[in-house]
Amino acid sequence: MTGSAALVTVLVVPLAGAVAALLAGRRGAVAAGLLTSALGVAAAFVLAGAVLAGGMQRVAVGGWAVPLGIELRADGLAAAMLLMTAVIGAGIAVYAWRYFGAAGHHDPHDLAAGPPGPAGKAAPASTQWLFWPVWLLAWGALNALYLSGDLFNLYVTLELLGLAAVALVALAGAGAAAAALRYLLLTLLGSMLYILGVELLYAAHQTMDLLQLRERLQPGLSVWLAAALMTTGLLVKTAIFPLHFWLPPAHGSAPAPVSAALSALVVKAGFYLLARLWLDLFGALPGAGVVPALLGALGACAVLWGGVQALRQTRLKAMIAYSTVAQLGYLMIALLLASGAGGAAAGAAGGAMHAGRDPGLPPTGGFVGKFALVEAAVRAGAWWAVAVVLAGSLLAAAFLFHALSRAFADAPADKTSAEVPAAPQLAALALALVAVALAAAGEPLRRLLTVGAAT
Amino acid sequence: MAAEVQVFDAVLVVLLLWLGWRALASADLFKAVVQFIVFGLLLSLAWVRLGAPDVALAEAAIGAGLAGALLLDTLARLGRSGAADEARPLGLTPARTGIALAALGLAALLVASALALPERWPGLAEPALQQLRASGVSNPVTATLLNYRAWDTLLEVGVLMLAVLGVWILEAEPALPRPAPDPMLGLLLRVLLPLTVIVAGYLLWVGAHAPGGAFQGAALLAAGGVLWHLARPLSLGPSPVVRAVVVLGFAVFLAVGVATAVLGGGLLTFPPEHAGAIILVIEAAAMLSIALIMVALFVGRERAPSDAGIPDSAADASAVPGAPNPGAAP
Repeated sequence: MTGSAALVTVLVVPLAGAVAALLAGRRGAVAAGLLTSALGVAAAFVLAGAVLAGGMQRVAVGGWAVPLGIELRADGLAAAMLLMTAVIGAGIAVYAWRYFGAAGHHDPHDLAAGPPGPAGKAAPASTQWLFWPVWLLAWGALNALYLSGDLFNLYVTLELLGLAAVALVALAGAGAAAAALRYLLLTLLGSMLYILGVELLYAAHQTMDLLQLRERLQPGLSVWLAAALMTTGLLVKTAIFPLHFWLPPAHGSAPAPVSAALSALVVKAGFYLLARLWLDLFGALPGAGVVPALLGALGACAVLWGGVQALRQTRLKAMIAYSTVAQLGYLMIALLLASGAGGAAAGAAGGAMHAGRDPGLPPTGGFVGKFALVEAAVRAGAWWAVAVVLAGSLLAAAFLFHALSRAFADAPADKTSAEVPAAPQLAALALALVAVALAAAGEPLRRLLTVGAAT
Repeated sequence: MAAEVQVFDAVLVVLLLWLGWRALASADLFKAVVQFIVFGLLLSLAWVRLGAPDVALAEAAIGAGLAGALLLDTLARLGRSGAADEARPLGLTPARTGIALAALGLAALLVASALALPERWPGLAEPALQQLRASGVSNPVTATLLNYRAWDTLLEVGVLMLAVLGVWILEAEPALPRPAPDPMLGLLLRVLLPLTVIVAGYLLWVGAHAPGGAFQGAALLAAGGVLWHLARPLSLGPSPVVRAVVVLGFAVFLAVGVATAVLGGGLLTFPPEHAGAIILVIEAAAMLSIALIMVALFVGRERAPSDAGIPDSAADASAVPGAPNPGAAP
């Protein structure tokens, strides 16, 4: 399979899977979802191999050259994101297989979004299977986003992703409707700010292609306004402190596989786009260095604020939601370090994508990610960043061990623990093993991330 | 002539601003919705004045028509629980003042940026017109939507599909009590429905060389569908047939993408001699799907009155003999 064929396959597989799942209906949707996941992982590996071997892969959709057409591009960062999404997505699919399989599955300790009673009850089981087409569309949107080289096309992928994420949150039932609606309004606000910026850039430069735009960019009021609008819109979507307020209720009230998809994948898409904009596009503007510094400062606040808030939560999912807020802060710090050090540090940014919510103990990918982050910070002399990362790790260790101490403690005699089916446990274990494997795969991953990185 | 047109434009702008303000500030929600609908209609006039009749058609049909119908339907539901009777809290709170100032500041910056642009900027109109012969259609808007940037449009059809999936996921609403069907409505339906089908087909066909196309045709079909639902309540839950029609447009578009990638020159690369036919097939499938999606968005997932435990008077009102609503049957 050629690189461009792999690129098209990566795009088409989840979308075709969504069609199959929707047509198959309640009984066949699971099979369609699992099969799609397997194919998607295979395609992502083939594409990553092609990028590693042959450099950036390009496809001009419709055969039209830019600026008239849309060009899809897979560089190292995109390939790594596709791979991460496919692997985590497969884990989520295995987990969801059991989660939504049990009819009307509902854990009363899990979902405190609404008061008990009619307002807090789970959605009727008859629509739970819609998880599969919606999740596969979200995955398709993520893949399209990573591969897109066109600012307007990126807007369309953001819309598809945002709407899918809202529908996924709504799967939790009537109790989650308010959180889903708030999420919808905020994600639409973010999209609106983003598209306003795209229009300004298009009007001034007659192209929406990222690479072409980088060459033509003329500093001026409209470019700065566009940069500000697009950045603000994406900060809302990425839930960066202080625009994170919508995330804990939305993620906390979603069904567990959905929370995982949102925290691990959906918000990262906004960050990916922010990184592309500030590393590839606006970074060349005179005086542009101040923006990543500002974003890094927000990131530091997010790490500390999210960590402290996570420690204060009593529900596991609310804790995870705040730890996501903190984790996004690390990404912003990595963005700052990467913008200062040039292309070589893109590896640090990518590494930080894998800085999971574990406290960063060896031998996991989270350790490698945080180690890369600290290493980059030391090299850049950003001692404040080192301090923030270490403080954040201590906070993460505190809230995780706090949660784990409950898990390992003897169950109270009056509570009967529910039988957890094997599949979700296996999925969680597999994802944990992947985190360990990432530590071993750190070097090839770093090599992949430098393919096509902006100089 | 030019002076009259300028006066018309000025009146349009002032009216738009005034209606926008009234829709936001009106204490009566019903008035606010009506003002919003009129706002949409005037906005479509503004699009005509800007030389974008395709956008004007879509704005009138979807922005004013369908969105207006959805808002009125929402009002009817609010009214039943008495929420609409509560006066809207108006007046300037600190938060609102802040938002208003931020919006005004942004507007000023946007105007300043727009004024800094060159008087005439070419955009991509020139390359779009140059390639028109190879695109399979002679309407540059359709060429852009279905050929140059078909990948955008494919994903947009996916967005519409997702909207209806989201509605299906949401908790089913109790059915609205509807007045006994007016015989006039049935008569109107019998006259208007065939007309909407014919005009939608015309818009689809004419889109190849003049303003029109799948979205506009679908909006018109959807208007007919909404009328049908008002006369004889439809049930558009996720049944196999409804799902198949909802997915049709996206599936055909994607299948064309796969076929062109496997057999031809690449993803969504249409050979010029077949491009016109390919575009027509995609648009026809998309029109059917989009029309059904819009009607399904309006219908929502109504719980049959008997399930909801609503008093019988409501159940009687919506139990129309012969209506395709199995849940409403006694």
